[in-house]
Amino acid sequence: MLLVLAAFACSVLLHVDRLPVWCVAAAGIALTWHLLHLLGRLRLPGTPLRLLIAATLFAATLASFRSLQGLSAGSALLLVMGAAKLLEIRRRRDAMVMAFVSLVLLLAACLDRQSLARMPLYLLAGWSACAAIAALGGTPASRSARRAFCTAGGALLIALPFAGASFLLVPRLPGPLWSWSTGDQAQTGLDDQMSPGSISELSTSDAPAFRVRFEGTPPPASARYWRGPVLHEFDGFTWRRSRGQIAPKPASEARGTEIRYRVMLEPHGRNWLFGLDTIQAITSQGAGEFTFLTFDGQVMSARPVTSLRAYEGRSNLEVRNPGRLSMTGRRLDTQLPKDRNPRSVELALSMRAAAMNDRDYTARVLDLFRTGGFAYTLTPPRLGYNSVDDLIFNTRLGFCGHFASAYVMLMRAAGIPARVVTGYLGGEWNAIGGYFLIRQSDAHAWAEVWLDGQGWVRIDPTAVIAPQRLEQGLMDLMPDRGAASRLLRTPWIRQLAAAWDASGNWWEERVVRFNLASQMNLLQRLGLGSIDYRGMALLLAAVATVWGLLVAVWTTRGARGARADDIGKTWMRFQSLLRRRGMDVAPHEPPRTVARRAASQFPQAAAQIGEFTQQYLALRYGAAANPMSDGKSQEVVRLRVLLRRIARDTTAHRRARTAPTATG
Amino acid sequence: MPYPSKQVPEVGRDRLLSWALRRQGKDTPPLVLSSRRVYILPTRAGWAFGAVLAVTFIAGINYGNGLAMLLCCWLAGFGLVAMLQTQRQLSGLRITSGSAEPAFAGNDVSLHLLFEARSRTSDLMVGLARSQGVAVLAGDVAGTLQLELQLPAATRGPWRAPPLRLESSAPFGLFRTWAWMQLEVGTLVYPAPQGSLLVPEVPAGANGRSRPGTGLDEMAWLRPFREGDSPRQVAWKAYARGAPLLVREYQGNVAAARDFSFDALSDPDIEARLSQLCRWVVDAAAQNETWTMSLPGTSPLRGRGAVHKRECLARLALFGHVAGHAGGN
Repeated sequence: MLLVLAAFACSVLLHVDRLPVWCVAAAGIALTWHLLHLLGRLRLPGTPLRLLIAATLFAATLASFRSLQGLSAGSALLLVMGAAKLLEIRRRRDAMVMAFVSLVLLLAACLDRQSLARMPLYLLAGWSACAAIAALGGTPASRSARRAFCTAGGALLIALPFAGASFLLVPRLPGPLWSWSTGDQAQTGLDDQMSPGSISELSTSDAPAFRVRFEGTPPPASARYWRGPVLHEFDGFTWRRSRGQIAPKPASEARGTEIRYRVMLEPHGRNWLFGLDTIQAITSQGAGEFTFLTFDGQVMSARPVTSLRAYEGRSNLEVRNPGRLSMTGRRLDTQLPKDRNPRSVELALSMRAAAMNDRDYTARVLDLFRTGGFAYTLTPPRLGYNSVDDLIFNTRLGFCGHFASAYVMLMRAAGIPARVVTGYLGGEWNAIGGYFLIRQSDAHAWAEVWLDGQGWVRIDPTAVIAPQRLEQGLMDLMPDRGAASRLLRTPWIRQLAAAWDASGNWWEERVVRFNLASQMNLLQRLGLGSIDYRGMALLLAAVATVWGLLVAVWTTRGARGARADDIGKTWMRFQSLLRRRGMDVAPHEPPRTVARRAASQFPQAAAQIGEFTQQYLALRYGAAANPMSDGKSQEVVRLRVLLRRIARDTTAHRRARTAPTATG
Repeated sequence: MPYPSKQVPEVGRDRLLSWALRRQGKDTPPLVLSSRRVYILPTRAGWAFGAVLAVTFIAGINYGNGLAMLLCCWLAGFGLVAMLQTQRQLSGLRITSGSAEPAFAGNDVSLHLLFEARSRTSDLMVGLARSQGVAVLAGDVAGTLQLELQLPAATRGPWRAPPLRLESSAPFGLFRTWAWMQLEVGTLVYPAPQGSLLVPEVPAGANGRSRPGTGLDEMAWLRPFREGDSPRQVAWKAYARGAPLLVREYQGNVAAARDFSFDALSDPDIEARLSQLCRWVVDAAAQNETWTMSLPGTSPLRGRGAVHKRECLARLALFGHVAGHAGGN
């Protein structure tokens, strides 16, 4: 019974961080209640109270989730109903139900969270559920917790090869048959709007944003701009994505080699995906993961990314737009709020008047940023109502978002179409996993400017203010933020962190996201490319059969060894010893005959052989013989000592016999 | 704890049982249960486990969730191992010997079975094939296990062991494995010792004494103690001096025998007469008297002691039966 409690407690533990606190609390109270009941301190509630509790919990779940569909609501319901059931366990059947509830709760956790770090807990939960089944399946004698854990653990270990083989071979579906909403969770990541300071908030987060594996040589750090939300609307303080306004997509031509890569995107709860600038195409493996490229060159997904998402991307570093920008596009990307940032507008107009053309103007503004005494900082001062004025003429301290915002605003004020692009920059190379890890702290913002004849041109004002930001991660750039951050930068800790991240990524990619495509891929590599469902089923059946036979043979062999008791084994060892010494011993020969012959052949050991045989016969057939003795007794030990002496004496005998020939 | 063995409906089970027994034939110990005759089915818990497995599979394959799939595969493997391990509880089990002791009608026959487990067997249950009851429940078995089954002996006559069911659902309770066997083990059921008639007196004029062992007889010799000998005959003095248990044998009172005759009884019911005779035999044997028992159609048996008693009881048990039916005891 304790094991059932343990199994259920483990399953509850899996859901601590993904279900409402009251669910977990209810389960905890029920567990404590039952534990006190087992200790004889408290009685389980009577039927009316129990029904009341169950009804209350049901109603609470309904009220809290407003529906019973969906993974969270379903597992919450299962959890609280399991807790209610815990209060009425009377028979073995009820306890068995609890063990199965624990297994289903484990399944729910598997569906929701799959990170490698959680696996030990999942293993523990599965193991204890199986141990609970073992404890309930046997008679009271076999119900000790240790024994149950051993039995279940042994069975699980034996099952492991089968699990591996069937995991690889069970046919997969190309996509989901139906789907549950997994519920939105607040996740960190880029927002669809950018105010001064919003990106620097992200910079403190070491959480991974996504991982990228390149086919071929990866581009240098300064070219690894990961394009995310493109912001068009500006109210003088905050940049937002265009709402409702879309412009035709300008024609583009790509030059240079195409770069292919694969992205594993951490869930961020939003609709956009990230790709290397400039994105040409994004392909998702799973059906139902529909993606499209917007007019401003970002990738959108039809569904929010609520679970880890993998996709392939194709990008070109050099892309130009030879045509002209459409009117709507120009209008969208030149709008500015009136009466905001008046000094900046004035500055822009005067600088544009001094410049020869648009291109010259962009360079001049960049020069301003380079030489105007601007500094890059993670903790910029707060900016006022006219944020750009404040930055340019007042504080001169900013983070990437500040400079991008100011730059685009200066462009627009001069009538040049420009927009803010947010995303990530760089990424940390993980040598173990062979991929780049892009963290939330790599979040970045830059500007894109339309220059006729060239099209959209990426201009990163941060690059002129803090050129090192392009080459290094933010972590190296920032001044010490206390001992913890110094510790994080010690090489071996970094190595460890990289290894951990790589194994987590391997887990995600190879196990959690093992789907039809990866299965086909694997079979192809095994030379089974053309195998169909029937072939796979046959292969699986064959593997299972071989495994079953191995298990059967293994278990029987172990058992056969255990059948001969220790007394008999000692005699058998004596027989084989004599055979090794060159004597023919038939299995059916009676002990006394064997002993007589052995004594005559090895006179030196005759006394020992006689004593040994006497002892053996006394133990086996004597008055004190106990046919069911397991033979761990002292007599057996004595028998073995005698046997060892015989072995020693007979070798001495042999040496004595061979020695004269050696000297002679 | 009530054992859930209701999977097979009774009628179907009986037909299945008779089919299986026909197929297997009679079993004479020693025998080894081969896997061909060890049956296995999931228990209710096993079906529930299967349902959990199915849910896991559907969830895993529908969402393309590798972890759920892995869980499913692992649990499936666990289930298969559970099945193999449960089957192994019986498959390969050796029944070394089986013997039954005679009993009086209305009492229980004790059936002794000696098992030898090939590997560690636990929670072995032995019961009658045709009823739900489980007679014996053993914990761990490693090596040899001796079981004594008390089986009711209702009627007088030769007794044969009923079909037995060996079953186990260890170690996980997800599967229940069972085997049926029809052991070629038999014994005799004596008539119930009943009847209120007084023991017939020693015929008048017989040259003998009615009460042996009083010391007036001439002691003939001493012989080693055998089971069934009356304590009164033991030479205690010799035993006190350190000799083994010896029994005094007498001569002289051989003629002084009581006469237990079937024909002398007036009860119209044959069984009642046999019961009465049985009562007398048992009492006389307990008193270590000498008696003659005569049944119609057989020569009278005269003698005393345990062997004589056993012979008489066997005749009573087989009265009206063909003698050959009394299996090997």
